[in-house]
Amino acid sequence: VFSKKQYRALRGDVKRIADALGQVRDLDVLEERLRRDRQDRPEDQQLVLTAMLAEMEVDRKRAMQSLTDTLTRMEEESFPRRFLGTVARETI
Amino acid sequence: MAPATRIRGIKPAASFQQNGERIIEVRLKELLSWRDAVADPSRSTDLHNMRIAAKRLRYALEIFELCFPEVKPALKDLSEIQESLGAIHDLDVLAEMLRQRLRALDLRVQEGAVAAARQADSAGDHVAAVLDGAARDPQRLGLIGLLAEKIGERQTQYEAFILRWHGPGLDRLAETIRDALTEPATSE
Repeated sequence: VFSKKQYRALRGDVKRIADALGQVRDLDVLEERLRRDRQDRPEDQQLVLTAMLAEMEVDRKRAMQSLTDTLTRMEEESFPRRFLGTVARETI
Repeated sequence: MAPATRIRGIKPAASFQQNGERIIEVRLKELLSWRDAVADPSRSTDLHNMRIAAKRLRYALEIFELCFPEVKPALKDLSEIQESLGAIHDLDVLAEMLRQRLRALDLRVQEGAVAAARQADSAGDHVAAVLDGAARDPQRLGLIGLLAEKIGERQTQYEAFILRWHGPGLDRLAETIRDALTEPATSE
């Protein structure tokens, strides 16, 4: 349906977004799990989980910044227009 | 993560149903290819690969459910496989994070013990003090407690998964999907 060149370009763009979103999502899932896990635990274990959550906060900020950068870049590269244009052109 | 098997034989001129059948066959074969590997509980990467294969197959079934309505029960089974393997994967990731922290802590203790051993007076006492401190360190005790718990949880999850999905359970799922492909929806 799509030419190889067009398809690969679209796929690459979508993959960039998915990868950036995935990083944030993975950290969110893990963070939620650790927070849940921290409740009703002995103090020494709570200490460990609190330290891990604090470190994850830094990773999460970094991942969020990377996601924002990716989305900004793709907007600058007119990704939505290119995407819709290709789909419309190739499927008519 | 293992890359998806390339699907050959897709033809734009063939029907949606025909191409769907081809895609589902390949994705099912991909899922079944991990069967032997996951019999070994230590093969975490292959367990993760099987989860991804289950996800790819489920997406393919969802897309082509219109053509093969009998796949519906398989979707639920695949979700269950994904969930079980996902829980195992999460525990593997968490256990590895805990191990890394424990290793880092141990390294600091070793360095402290070496420094204490170099002291001219009562080196043995200084080393003993360092080791005693490490043994009582709440961070270390917390890490060991959490790690032991997560390893135990992982074992339980893995055993439940194998019991449900390593034997006839997976055969039945494959059979359901293959049967569904032979009973496509009739156009009205």
